[in-house]
Amino acid sequence: MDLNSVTIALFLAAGVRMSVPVLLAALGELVSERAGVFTIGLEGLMLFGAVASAVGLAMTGSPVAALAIGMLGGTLAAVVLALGTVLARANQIVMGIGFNLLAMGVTSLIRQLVLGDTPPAGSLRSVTMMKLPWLSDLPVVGRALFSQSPVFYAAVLLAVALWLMFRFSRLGLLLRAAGENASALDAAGQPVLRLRFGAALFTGMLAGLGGAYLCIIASGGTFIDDMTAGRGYLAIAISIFARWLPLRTLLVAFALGLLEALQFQGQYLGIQIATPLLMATPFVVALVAWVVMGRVGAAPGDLGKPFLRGAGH
Amino acid sequence: MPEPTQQMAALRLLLAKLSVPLSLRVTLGAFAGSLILGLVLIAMLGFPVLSAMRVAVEGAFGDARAMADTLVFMTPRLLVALGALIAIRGGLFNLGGEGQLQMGAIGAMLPFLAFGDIGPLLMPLAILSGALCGALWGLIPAVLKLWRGADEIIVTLLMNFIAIYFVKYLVQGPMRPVGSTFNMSAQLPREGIFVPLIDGTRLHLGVILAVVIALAIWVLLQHTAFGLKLRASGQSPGFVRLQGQSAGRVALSSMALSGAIGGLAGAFEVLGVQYRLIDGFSSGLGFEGLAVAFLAGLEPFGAVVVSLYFGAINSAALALQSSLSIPAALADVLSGLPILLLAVISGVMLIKGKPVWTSTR
Amino acid sequence: MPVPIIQLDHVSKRYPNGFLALENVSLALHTGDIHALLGENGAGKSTLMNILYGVHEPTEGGVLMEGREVVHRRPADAIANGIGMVHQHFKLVMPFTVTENLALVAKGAKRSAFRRHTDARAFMERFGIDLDPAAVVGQLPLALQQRVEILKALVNETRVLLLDEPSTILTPAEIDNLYFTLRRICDQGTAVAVVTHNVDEVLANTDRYTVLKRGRTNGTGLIAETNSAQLVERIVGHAVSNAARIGAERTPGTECLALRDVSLRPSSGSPGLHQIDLTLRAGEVVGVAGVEGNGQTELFDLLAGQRQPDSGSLKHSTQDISVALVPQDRHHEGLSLDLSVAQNLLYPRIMAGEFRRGGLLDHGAVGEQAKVMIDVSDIRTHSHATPARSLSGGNQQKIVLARALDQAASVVVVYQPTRGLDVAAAEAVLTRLAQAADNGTCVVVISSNIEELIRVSDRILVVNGGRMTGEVKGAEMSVKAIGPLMTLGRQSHSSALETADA
Repeated sequence: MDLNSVTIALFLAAGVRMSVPVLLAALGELVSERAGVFTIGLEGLMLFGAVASAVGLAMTGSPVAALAIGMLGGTLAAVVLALGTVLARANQIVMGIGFNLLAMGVTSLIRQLVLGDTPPAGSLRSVTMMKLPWLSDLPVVGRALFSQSPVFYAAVLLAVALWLMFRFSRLGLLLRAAGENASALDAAGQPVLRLRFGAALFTGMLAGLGGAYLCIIASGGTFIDDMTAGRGYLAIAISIFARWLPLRTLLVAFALGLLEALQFQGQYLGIQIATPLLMATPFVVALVAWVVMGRVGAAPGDLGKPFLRGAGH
Repeated sequence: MPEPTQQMAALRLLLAKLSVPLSLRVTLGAFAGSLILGLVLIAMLGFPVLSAMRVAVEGAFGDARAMADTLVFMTPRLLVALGALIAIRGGLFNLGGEGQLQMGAIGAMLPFLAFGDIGPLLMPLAILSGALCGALWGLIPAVLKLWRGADEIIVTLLMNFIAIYFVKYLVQGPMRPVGSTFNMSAQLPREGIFVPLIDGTRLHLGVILAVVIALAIWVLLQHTAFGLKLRASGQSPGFVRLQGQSAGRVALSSMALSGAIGGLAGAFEVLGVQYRLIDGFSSGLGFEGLAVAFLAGLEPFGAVVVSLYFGAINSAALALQSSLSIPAALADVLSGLPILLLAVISGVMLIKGKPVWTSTR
Repeated sequence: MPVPIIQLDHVSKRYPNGFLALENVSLALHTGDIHALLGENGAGKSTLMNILYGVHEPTEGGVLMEGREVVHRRPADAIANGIGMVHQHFKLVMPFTVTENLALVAKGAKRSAFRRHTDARAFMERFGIDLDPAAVVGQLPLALQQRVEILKALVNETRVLLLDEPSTILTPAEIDNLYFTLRRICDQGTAVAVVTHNVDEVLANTDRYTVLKRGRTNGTGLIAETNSAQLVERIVGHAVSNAARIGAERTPGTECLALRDVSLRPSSGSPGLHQIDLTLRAGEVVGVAGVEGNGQTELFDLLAGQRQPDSGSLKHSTQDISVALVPQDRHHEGLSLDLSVAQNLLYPRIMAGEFRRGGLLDHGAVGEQAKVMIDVSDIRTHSHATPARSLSGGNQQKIVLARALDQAASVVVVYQPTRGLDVAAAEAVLTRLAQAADNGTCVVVISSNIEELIRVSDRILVVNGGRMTGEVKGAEMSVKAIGPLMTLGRQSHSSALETADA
């Protein structure tokens, strides 16, 4: 088998493409988990984002508007979820499971009743490909990294921005405190619930964009039932494995994208490993890492705990 | 941002008017609310509400075939729920029902793959092996928790995916018959499966076993010293500790049992429905089962009733689809809604200082 | 006299359950003063602090700042008015650095004041505190964590600093350091109020005092115009026990359990234990007195086998010595509330293998045995199958006690056995404890109710700051003798005892 630079570049490019939706969702999950909200409903948020973008595309014909509507859809869905998990102090896991089921049903209903069978017309090129000047001419990486969807560049910038926010900004500090020790933050007179609610909405927005990417960019604007196929749960695992660090999340998501790409392109690269085993490795590694860290694991101290004043520590 | 207290005032008022035990009240409220919402949804979509109700009831309970479908849909959810509630009442949040179910399905195939068609012994061996695989898979998070303090929620969540991909791997490789292009194992021989109990229906032995297991779990919880210890550990770990008992042993045995029952859920799907191991046979049954356990107030008989509802919704949805062209996705909506409502109501009760479940985190 | 920075003006506080926690209490804090708030448990110190900090609103009376009435509905209101609070249990984000913890609290214009570690260092220097601003708080020793907690309370232009029992977790040298810091804070134009029960500490370090007793002011004034004996008397009062002793004189039997030089390390909210020596004998009631939070919980945990000593030894004199427990937290440790009364009563025996029929629990036999115990202990319950949750506090306590005594243990350790019980129920509990000792059980009663200890104990040990500060027995047992041991530092115990004897 001929292993030339084009094959490698195509493989890398495919890996990047596969990683984008999961990366976006994982970055969103990371923010709400850092603030103490375990968003099991991520899968459902992505589905809502995907179906919203499909509706948006059908209505406006503009792929850019479709992506924006996908983000909006994810955010609105997150309002419902956060009303339960943040304000009503619902059990975050039970709420998330119910939300995912509901999302599966509602998005499928929307597909059948609103979208119909007409395939979307018009060019999606404005969102699928944006060659960066000069950089895209570089060998291998030019094709792999710099001839991608603008959403990919946005996701990378976002990872960097989140890193900066958590590291240097006051908002990042407050969000982290809401997840580490909500009652201490409350005692400091800061609005725990508002911070958590905001974080949950941000998660919805990013998961919505991730879903919209799946629908508009990865499958040409067609919504398919359950098209996320577990990517939401995968994103949760990535955020845990990356220890809630944005840049590490970027790398892990990319690595996973490569593994997924191997499934389709492994034969061109002459690699003969059973892909399901490859796909399982990140979870095994995450599990081992989690266990090795043990009690000192850097999970936010109040992750998954509804905030109750006076519950204390 | 809206004030949380205002929205809750209405809910609170609604709850105060009823005077039924708390967890039952919460569950009834969740079901009633979501069925009403479901009917509203059907009406809004422009379908005839009355005939939809008739078709739904007939589709779920109308004849032997419909009943059997309902029960077959009920079975895996009931078993996962029983497994989940054992662990949760013992104080461990087992989110790994999906993985345990997957491992149980693999387990159910192992005796056939190892010994071939060995006649009537095959089926009991398959059941046993399924339970065993689930139990071992369930023990891992308990051991990791005791040994390293690793949070069982995250461990079980991650392990679900390992199990799912492991099944994918098996049906794409080692278990795929030579020459086949489908992602599934070979079919089990007729001695090795649950043959339909009534001709023309899908009713299988697993349905009966699942109900028997529910009864057994109830006996275990209410009529044995182990059950007493398990309940005490989940509700009041401080009490059990002060009585000089080891929380670790309870955790290990409850997770092994929980995993075994989850494993049976997968094994019964293989033996009673698919007759082989297939990629994607579960579609989130494990997660749904966990939610069933909560809707049931973590009670075994409650789990029978709630999973029966879930089974009925699923077979009713099929009938609605075929006779009224109402999308079957309605089943997911009507499954998700009560869970959402339940979670919200119980959260509100938590704020009021009256938790619905005392044994959860 | 200048206008006080903050005043409580004839404040009363009645809780929703009807309990009157404060009655007509007035208090004035002045800038530049350290004001000590003294009192026993339940005297109303916490309620008073919580009213100042906006956690509770007064039922009657008002809060004045610089002579003008203010209403503090929530802590945020108090913080906005320049009030800072140092909680007994630290409200710190442990994985964060010192600077980050300070930045969290900052409000309004102060928001950008803690961007860099150098900002935090400059802030700390104002109060003479030398801490590494980049240190992770969770890795600092306890006394320094407390310093961070104090700094946090000072971030927002604080004019009034409240501290809830800051000294219980500190060593004597650390207490000196604490007051050195507090004096610096005062000198920067802040009023400081410290809740404490330690009279020595108050005399050595503060300017004014107010004593609370049963929700009322029992003396206030300048430290310069009072003395140790007067303060102790105001705190513990003259209360002469008018109730009779329970149980006759006993002669202690053989040794069953001994602590030798036992220590436990302090932690947030816990003073630890320091070099405790204690011998327990069969057939005696040993009282453990002290203001709450001075090592009683730690002692209970040790005797219960829940914690191991960090140093020293705990020895059972023979193999078959067993310990039965009546914990303080009835709802989480004493009972499993959703189990039935019968299951709670017989839990240890069920677990030991009794009451089985064909491998299953014999609910009938459990019920029959439980009925007997319910009768003997006079537990008022609808039935033995009722969940323990639905019983009253007194009857719940009787279950816990009945179970402990039913175990025929050599040692029974009871912690705050009568808290929340009405007089009749409390009397019944104490009588049963005395009977157990008469029958040869060693009974350890840990309580902050001195009168009750005097009535039931053969000897009383006093703990203070995790140390054993004295032992009184027989006729020597009196509020007058025990009060100083609970409220004075170690150095003045001998002199205080002499005063008490005189």
